[in-house]
Amino acid sequence: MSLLSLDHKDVARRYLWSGLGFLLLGGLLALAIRWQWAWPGQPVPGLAWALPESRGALTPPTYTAVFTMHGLVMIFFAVTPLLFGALGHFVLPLAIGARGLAFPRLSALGYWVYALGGVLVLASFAVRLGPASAGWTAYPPLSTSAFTPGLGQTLVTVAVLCAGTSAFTYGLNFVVTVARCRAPGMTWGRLPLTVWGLFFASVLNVLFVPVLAAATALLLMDRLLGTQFFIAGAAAVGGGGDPVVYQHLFWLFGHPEVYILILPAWGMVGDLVAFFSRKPAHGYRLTAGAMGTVSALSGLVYAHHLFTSGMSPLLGRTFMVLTLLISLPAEVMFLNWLMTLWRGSVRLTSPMLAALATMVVFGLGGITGLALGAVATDVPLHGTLWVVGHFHLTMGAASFLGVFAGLYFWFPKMFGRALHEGLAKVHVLSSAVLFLGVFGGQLAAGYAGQLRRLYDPYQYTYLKHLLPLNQWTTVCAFLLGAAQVVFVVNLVWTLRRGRAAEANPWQVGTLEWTCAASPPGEGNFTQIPVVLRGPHALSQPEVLERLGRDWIGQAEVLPGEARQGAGDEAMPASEGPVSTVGSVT
Amino acid sequence: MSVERNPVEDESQTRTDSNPLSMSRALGMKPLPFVSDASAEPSPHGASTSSAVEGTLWLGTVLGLAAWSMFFASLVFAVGWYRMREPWPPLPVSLLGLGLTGLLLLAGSAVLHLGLQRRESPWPARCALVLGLGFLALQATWTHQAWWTEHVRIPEGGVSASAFHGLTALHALHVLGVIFGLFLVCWRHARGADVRASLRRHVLGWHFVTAMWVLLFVAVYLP
Amino acid sequence: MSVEGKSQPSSDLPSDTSERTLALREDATINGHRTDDAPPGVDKSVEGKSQPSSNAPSATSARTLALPEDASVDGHRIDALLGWSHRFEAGMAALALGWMVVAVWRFRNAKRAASDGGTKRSRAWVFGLALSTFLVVDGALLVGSEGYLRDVLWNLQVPATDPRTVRIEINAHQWSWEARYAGEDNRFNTSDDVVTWNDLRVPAGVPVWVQLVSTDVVHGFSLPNFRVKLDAIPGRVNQTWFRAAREGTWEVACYQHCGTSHYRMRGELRALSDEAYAAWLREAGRQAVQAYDVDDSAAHWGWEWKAP
Repeated sequence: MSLLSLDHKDVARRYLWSGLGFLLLGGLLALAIRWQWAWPGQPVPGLAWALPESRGALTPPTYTAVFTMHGLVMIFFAVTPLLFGALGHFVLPLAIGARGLAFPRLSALGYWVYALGGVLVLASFAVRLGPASAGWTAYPPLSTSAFTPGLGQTLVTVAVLCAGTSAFTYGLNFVVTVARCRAPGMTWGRLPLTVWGLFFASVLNVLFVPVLAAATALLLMDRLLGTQFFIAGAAAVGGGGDPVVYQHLFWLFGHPEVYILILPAWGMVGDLVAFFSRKPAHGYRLTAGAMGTVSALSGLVYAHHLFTSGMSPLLGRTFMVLTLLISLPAEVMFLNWLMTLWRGSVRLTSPMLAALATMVVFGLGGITGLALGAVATDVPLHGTLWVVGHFHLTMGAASFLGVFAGLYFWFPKMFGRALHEGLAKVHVLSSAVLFLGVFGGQLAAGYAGQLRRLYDPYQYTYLKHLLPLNQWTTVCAFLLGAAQVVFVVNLVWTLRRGRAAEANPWQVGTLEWTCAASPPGEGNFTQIPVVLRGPHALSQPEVLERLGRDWIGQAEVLPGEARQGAGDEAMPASEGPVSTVGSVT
Repeated sequence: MSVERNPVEDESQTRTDSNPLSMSRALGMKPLPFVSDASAEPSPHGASTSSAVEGTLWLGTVLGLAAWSMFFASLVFAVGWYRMREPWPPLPVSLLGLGLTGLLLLAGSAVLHLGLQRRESPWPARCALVLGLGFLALQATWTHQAWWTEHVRIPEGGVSASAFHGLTALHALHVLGVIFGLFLVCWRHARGADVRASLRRHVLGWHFVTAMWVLLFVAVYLP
Repeated sequence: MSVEGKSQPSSDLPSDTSERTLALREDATINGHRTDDAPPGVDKSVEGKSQPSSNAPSATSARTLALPEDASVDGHRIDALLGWSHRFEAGMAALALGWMVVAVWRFRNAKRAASDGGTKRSRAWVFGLALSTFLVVDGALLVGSEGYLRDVLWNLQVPATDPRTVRIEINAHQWSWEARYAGEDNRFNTSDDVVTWNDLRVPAGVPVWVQLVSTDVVHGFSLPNFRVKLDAIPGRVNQTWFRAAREGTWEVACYQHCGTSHYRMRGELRALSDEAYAAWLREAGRQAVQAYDVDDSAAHWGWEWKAP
């Protein structure tokens, strides 16, 4: 594949390899943090080459850099690029029957901007004073040059700006592609739920990434030019600004960002659960609507991150109500997934297992977030590992498993080869269980009061008894890291020796599986498909009767129905009983 | 990565292909521009005809600019916050001067808008280029005057000076971007390319920075 | 102000911390704590029950799966609310997971699958179930939370009207808590102000009204045993209040990342009897007057007490 290719599938592969690389980096950083909490100040195995002075042990300055970079790398350089860059770029045009993205050059450019950001991140590890260390949120004044001097923080701030720019470009690209480039007959009501998830998340991207860009631009000016936007207190000159403004802007982006990270996974779960229950998704419109409602609300709830910042009671109450409100559409969506399973014919393939695992970790993550949405119960839990466990379950574990659900599902389409199903299942199941161990342990530690980002939590007497718990959690984390070897082995083996994938291994009807080769060639389709029905036309009696199988392609004409449809002047592609599935629900 | 393509053609595809009649009939009935020559030449766009491509580009530009206005909305939110906190010191720079400078952008908007109604004249765009450069020069003059003559400086001037210089600069960068784009359009036009659609999109960019200037004026320059 | 944190030589650290870690390990083994790593969602129904008070911070009375010991007069309301919400949440988790497991179990490789995407009734049922769960669970949280906010957290009338209220100004900086008491004259920034470092003393049973600033970066003032958390943000005065239920010593912790030594930003809070507190304040005020230096402007960081 050419590095300069503009084809969406090549761009997707570029994002995939870069994203997996950064996932590895972020994961290793996470293990270093976990090690520190279990065996504080002890040399981290295998880190002596990087930290010769301390023989591999994390020092407080190194530790702050490690947890900062873990967060930034995972969010901006691993999970978002994997969900949007890799899966989104690959699947979206295929699933809507387009020959490519609306702006191919923009998507390639977006990758290179992201890659530039990635290079800056990597470079920041090599500069004096190390990479960024002010937390992934980079709250000023700590993140200004008075308190975090050094080039690293600046490089990483620019890198975040790059990742944001890239997210803006593909967000815009996806929105326009879905709006303009759908195949004939691919109405909004026939879009796969994955596309809905990507579409809503892309809308959030284009709306809220500019907010991050503004906050970051002002922060960079504070760092580099001496402006006073976010500086107050002793370091301020001429009256100073207000650090709280940054917090508001940051979370106005930051909270939609967590939905950006989970919406595509939600969409995939919705599709996969339907595919592998061999039955149409329950309440397709309700699910898509719920995702839309969550997206619409996501920008209106952000200030629950600031419940302890001394907000006015009026604002606090407003954001409490709005925050709690967002759980309603999430519940509707979750119940729809469960109802889809019910009375289906459940096939526990590796993508299905990953989707179910996503449901479990997301469900637990969502439930543990409820207490954080009300001001009173937020107080004891704010800033503790409870919060960390909660958001890692939702946008860490759930997004991760969502990525792998998608990857296992579309891998044959991406590379034309079939992964080893057994290894994939082992990987998914072990990851899911260990995720629960790691983040469950964090929830427990946080509930007992352990504050996040502490180099040595056991400085505090009231946290001393949590050491064994943290050690067990760390053991889970290392096992989780080890479980990823299964994936790597599977990946390398399959790419070298794997058997060629069947044309439609999962027996589903969406366009990428029924109208395009594996892997699809230039232009995706030899002929643009004409879509006749929704994405989940499974187990339809007419199809079973006439074709002898329980699925039918979205653009496949059912024998006997064809002539009728073609002869109809007004409704060329939407007659017949099967075509209604997925569009009228 | 060299993975051979799977030669197995999909079942339903052959099925669809075996029904060319119904397919083409269906296509013919739906005058969607991007399927009319779908089988002819695989273009990277779903849309192949130029009008569809232009429409897509236009939509992308509109949506992109509309979304990017969130950038300025955020900046204005920040400034609004500071202004609610404490009295905003009046700028020592002539408000009239700043306003007249903005009129250059407004004039550019008008010229370009009227120019789009006419056919194929390069003059509105060139005129706008001059207006834009004039705008930048005047903005530079005002900030220069504020800094050197009136001592509105960073960091001594606190957050109001930061907002004046910082936001003026951020806006000017956007104007510069639009001017550069417009310049490229003029360049391509001078070399004989058809740039009408491209010009229309760039005019949109011009309107955008004009609108953002109004925001800037209200949020930062007004006392 | 020290900003050399990042570049400080760290050669002495490993040995130092490893010694302490060993000590901690012994500590933990002696206390013989359970090391349950139970899955989330099910294990949170333990309410933070009041433990017998102790005079020194101790790990012996702490339980792994409970909130930190509650030593405040009003904190039990939060704990009870959390307890209730955890019961609901455990119920929701059990329902959702149970449903999923049963569905997968029962319909795995079933011969026939339903062909519809739900009926009007089933969709209405989904919406109704979601709505009623939402109303019960979120409603309970909202109502309970609102009660606490109205009566305690945002009700500064209590400390403002109580004549016994103790007022403390806290100045957070990298990396310690500097507290200022008004002294005998009840006015801040005067010569008899008592200033302490990482050492808060309050009388038990009396409202303690804290106003909080930061000189450098954002810090987080938390009293885990009193259910108090409040950001210390440069450029603004935040305030909160609490009541200690009994005498004892507890910890002050910073919960916002504030730089290299964030983890060392630990203080102690002693709740004393009224008499002991008054005696201490008198004596400390006397010493403060003696040590007062008019020219040391950096020491006069106090401010006029802000009305609520």
